[in-house]
Amino acid sequence: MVYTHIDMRIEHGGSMQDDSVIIAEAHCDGPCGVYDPASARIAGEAVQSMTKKMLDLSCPDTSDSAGMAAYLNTMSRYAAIKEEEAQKCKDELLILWTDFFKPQHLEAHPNLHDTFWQAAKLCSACKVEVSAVHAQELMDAIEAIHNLFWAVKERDVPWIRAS
Amino acid sequence: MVISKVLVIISGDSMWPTLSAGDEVEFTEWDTPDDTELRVGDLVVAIHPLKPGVQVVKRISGFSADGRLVLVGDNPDPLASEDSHNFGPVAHKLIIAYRR
Repeated sequence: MVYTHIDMRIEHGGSMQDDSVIIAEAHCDGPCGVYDPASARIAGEAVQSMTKKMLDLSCPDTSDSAGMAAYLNTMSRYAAIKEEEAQKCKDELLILWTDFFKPQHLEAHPNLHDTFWQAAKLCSACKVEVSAVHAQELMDAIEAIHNLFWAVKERDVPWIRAS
Repeated sequence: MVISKVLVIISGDSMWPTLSAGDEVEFTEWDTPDDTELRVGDLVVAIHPLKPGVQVVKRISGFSADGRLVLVGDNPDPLASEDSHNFGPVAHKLIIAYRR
């Protein structure tokens, strides 16, 4: 079969450029390219930061009412933020896992499901515990997902932390 | 009747695993209303009913009660395809080409 005027084909855009060649869209429900693991990374960094702050906070003499009030208030705020950011991190990871990644990505990345499952579990662990080890493991998991995500997108995006 | 072939270049993965992005596939031009009867299972290139400048490639999964075509992607992921789940059944006049 000979197709005429194939040299007139247009770039990605979905228009018919001549009588012989058609660019046909086979795209997804949402607009492609709106996903970014940076949202999970920022939330994960907040979890790790709050975890460190909680572990570093010194408890005053329990007979010092004003000191104890300030201590409990500060500790409570750190815990609340850690809880909130860990949930936000999990939400962002689940969006990437269930919405961005598609069955065809499993061919090149067979560990994809386990990577996300373990990362989501670490979000839960960081909520329940005050663990510097698990907070670091969560960041390591998010970095692995960052690398996986940009590999799928075929872009070289370095892993950079805000803190 | 002259049967004209067209080369279709695939953009996107909604037809995976049948078709992948970058695939170049031969389709047969289709012209309503006297052309070959389209069947369930045929691949078709259609004008997007909500985006007139865009052609989509999908598979016919059935026909609506009023005879229009129900087009779906092959990708099993529910978010992987913009098709009749989103834009509804498609009139025959929007079909450009088919592949059986």
